[in-house]
Amino acid sequence: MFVSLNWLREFVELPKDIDVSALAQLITIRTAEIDHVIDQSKELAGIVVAKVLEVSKHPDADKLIVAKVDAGKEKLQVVCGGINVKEGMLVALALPGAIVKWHGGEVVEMKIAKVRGVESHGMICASEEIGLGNGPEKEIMDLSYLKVKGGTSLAEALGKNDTVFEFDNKSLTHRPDLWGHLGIAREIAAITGYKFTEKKAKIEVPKKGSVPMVTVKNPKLCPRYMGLIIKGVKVAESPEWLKQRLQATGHSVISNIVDVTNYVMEEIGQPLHAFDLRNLEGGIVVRTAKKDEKIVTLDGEEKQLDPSVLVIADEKKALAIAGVMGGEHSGIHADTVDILIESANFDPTSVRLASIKAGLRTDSVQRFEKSLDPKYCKRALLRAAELILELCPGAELAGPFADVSNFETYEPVVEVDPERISKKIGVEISTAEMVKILESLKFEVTRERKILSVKVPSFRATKDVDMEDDIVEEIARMHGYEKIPALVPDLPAKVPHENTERKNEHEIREIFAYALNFNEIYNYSFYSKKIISDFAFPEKNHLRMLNALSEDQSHLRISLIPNLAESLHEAAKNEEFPALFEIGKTYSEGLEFMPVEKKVLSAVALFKKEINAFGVMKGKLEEFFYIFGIENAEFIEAKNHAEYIHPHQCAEIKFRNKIIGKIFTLHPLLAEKLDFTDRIAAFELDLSALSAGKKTNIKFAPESKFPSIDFDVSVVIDRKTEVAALRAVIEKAAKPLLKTIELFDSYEGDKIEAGKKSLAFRITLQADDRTLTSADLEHAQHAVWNSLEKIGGHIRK
Amino acid sequence: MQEKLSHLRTEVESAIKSVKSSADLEVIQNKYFSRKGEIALMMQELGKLSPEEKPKAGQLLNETKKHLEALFEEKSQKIRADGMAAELEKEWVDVTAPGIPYKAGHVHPISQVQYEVEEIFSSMGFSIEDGPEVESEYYNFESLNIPASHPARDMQDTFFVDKEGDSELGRLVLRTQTSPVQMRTMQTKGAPLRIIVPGRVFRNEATDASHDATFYQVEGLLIDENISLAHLKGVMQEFLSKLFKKNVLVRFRPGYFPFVEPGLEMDFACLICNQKGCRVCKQSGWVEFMGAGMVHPNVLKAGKIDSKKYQGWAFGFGLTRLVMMKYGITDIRLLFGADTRFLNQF
Repeated sequence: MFVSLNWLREFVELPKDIDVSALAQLITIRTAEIDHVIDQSKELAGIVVAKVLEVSKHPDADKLIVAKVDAGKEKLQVVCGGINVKEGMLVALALPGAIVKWHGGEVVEMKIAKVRGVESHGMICASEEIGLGNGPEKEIMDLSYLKVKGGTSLAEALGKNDTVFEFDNKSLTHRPDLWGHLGIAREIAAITGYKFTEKKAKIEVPKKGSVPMVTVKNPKLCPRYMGLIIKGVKVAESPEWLKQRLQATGHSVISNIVDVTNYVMEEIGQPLHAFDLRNLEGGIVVRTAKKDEKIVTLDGEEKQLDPSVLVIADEKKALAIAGVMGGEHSGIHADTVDILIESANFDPTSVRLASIKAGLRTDSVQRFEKSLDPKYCKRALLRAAELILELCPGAELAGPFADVSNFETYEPVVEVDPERISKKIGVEISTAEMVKILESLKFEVTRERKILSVKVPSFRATKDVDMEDDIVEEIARMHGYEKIPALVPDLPAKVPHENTERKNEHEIREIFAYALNFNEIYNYSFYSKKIISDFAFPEKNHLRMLNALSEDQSHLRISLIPNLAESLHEAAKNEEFPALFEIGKTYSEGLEFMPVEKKVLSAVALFKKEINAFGVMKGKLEEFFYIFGIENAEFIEAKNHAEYIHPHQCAEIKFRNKIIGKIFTLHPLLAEKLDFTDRIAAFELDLSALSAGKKTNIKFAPESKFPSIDFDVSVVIDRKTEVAALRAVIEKAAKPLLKTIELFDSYEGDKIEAGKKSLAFRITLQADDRTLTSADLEHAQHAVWNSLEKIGGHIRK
Repeated sequence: MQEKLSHLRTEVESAIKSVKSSADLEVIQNKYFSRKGEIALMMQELGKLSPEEKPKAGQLLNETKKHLEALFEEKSQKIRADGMAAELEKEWVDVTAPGIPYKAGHVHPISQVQYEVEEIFSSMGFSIEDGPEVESEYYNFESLNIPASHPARDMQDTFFVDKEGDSELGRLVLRTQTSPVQMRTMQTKGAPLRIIVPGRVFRNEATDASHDATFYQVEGLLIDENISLAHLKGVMQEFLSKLFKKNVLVRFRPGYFPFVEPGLEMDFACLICNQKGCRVCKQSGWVEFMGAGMVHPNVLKAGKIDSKKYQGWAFGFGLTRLVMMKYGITDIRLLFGADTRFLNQF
């Protein structure tokens, strides 16, 4: 919201030379954030009004002229392209050093320059070049009406001497009273101590005459509706002072009547609307819209209404969407003579919902949705009448105003305990100071022993203040947040309960990044329907978004793999064979209303076709298990795999009798579909299960003092016999002296029978209490050979 | 014998002296030191001497032998070293050439900063809590004093799940803030409470360099018997000073959030310009950091906490924004996806 300092001065006696940036700072730390302070005169610095003395053609350019102008101190030569430059005209001249918008666009600093060989000492400006609106194309601004001497600064000539504060609207969300200059001035008076004056309209409303007929059918949605008829207005341009105020506060100027409604809204915070009485058929009816009812609003668009939307209607048709926007037909036109001014109060939620439905977010909506005080309807209506009579000397009030009121003034009394207030703020504040603060904000305070009874003024009570904690805020901010000391709480220094899973998450990250050379990435929680079909995921397990940002993000992920795989493309732009991991949540439909969320650790890596991708990935995963402390995880060949997985390269990972994840190679056809020519290996694991199963106590196992002996055994066996099965057989046979079994070679190919593979194990034996003998070795060897032969192995000796 | 020995000594000494190569060494080795070499021959001759002569001559021979062997060893060391020097010269490396590449991975910057944040708050007695990312309207809004009519509930801010709502919990939404975890923790653990909640949140808004529809927040909550705004200032000043490793000043100013009363915005003193004014702080000397305030009595009530006995504050700051500030990242979108040129910098 834009707030004019000149306007504020009408309500609060601020010193002439007040430091505006210090004031803005003070407002920011006491009340609401000011984003910018705009000094109008600075915006036009270096731009003067100059008189055109002579115009001649540019010797080398048809479309340019060379003008001699009187810029006060000196006469200057300027090259110009404006088609309307004439001798004797007053123009806006940007002198060297001034900042202008080149043709309304790029911001440039003026310099003395040669234009096609002719020196130019400035620029004669079009209105858009100096931020004063859009004039006719290729025309410069004609300022002849100003009647000032050449050299007068443009800001001075135009009366642009205001300072404008731009408030952050969000910080005014809970302060309906601050949506007008009156309220801001009252607040500034409270925080600075300068004198505040309630300046009310001085106008007499006739006791007799035409009163608008008003029927409020839905008093809940319209607690107050006031109307006043003014006859004999003359629609015209607003005077300069009014235009300046409206322009300073970000409004475009339309016509005196409409401008007055905006002016009063900016001044008092109460939105108004003006109807052309000619187009009203019968009295005003405030009602909800009929099914299929339509209205063409002031912006010229037809809006579909529905029975939840409150409208202002006459007996035949809807005239306006209540609190949102008026209709085109019933609005003010150039030939309007008699008008009805509406000043009403509407239910904030109803206005907001209507605004969302109509897709219209107006200044009026912004105010009504904050919960305005119905008491201000009358004040605003009288002020509007006063201004219209001032601007249209021939106009007159047709009679008394209509006032359909269905509200009670709400001014709650809150009992507060000053001691408790100090305790919440954390700084000792005297009761006397509290009283002073509250009174400066127009609260009425009575003291009863240690308790204060605080009567909240209606303009603060509509939404904002009705309990002790609200009073705490008033006192804290006005006393000064900067005066609150920074204290460390005096609490028992207890070690917080540890979030083991979070801690383990960080450890997992470090292992994957620093030991296993994966890059951690973050992906979005969504993917598209196309992904679901590419991966042949069951769609019904997914949560679908009602209002997705895009088609690519229509569903919540049930697996991290699709987005990770996609990310390999991006990573592969800079690294040949990237490896990525992500820790994140998956979301799926469960049996309860709340979906099932799982924290998952997933990784993908890209491999050359010739490389045993599955094996490399499994090696990394095993090393992770070892470092992190997952013991005895089993890899079990998965029989029923999803379509996106290589049919012969997938293992489920079983840990503590539960499947906690899987490792696999992506199906080459899917990889192809995703535009990869290389192989992708991946795994995903339930992070919570990993975290819960982490081995926490490591016990050092001393090496035996007696030497170990080892022997190698090489066996040829059916290629589908699992290494795990062979290990189990060896383990059983070589017990109890067995120390380790290591697979050190594996071969399939021409040198052996088809359908077979050759595996070589190194078996190490050791005892804790003696040195082993050759008899021990032979015994173990034979046992191993025999048992391997028993399951169909051929031992190569 | 004596004479012979002295002669041999001079002869071998000069022979060793004149050695130039390992081939010369081999000649000397064979001629004098081998099993059939001259020194061995002298040993044999020693046997022929009379028992009276033997001890003296034997001693002398041993001494000579030792002396010559030492000399020979010394020389051969030198010859080897000289020969090696030439060999090693061929193995010259350019120390300025790059090492053979070895690439470790990187932990994501959000994870790194999140870890630091967790460590600092843990050291101040805060525990770290988690909660669901798909939330109900009740936990995300109602219980936090954001009634259905509040503007924050508008469709443009919140992602809804396409599923019929529950009569008590309302519809499913992607949490727009980490605050619902406040409520869940209050309900399950009760007061006193000292927690932070780092986590992923979602807002349905258009993406640009400084806005993303998915980002990370850190929620904080401290509830005890005598907790005031002064403690919020103290804890945050401590936190930021530890995080940025220098003294950081903070300031409060009024702000509005439905779940706190009073509601505040907290800024910290710009670390880039030391409050002299720069682009980062928009010339104000202060950087906007977070929203906070004393927990609203309605929220305590929904959390089943006795607001007569307990009071406290809550805050929420953007972890993503903090990461961007800490590392000077200018485009939020780099944080999602796998641009390794970006990731490898952390």
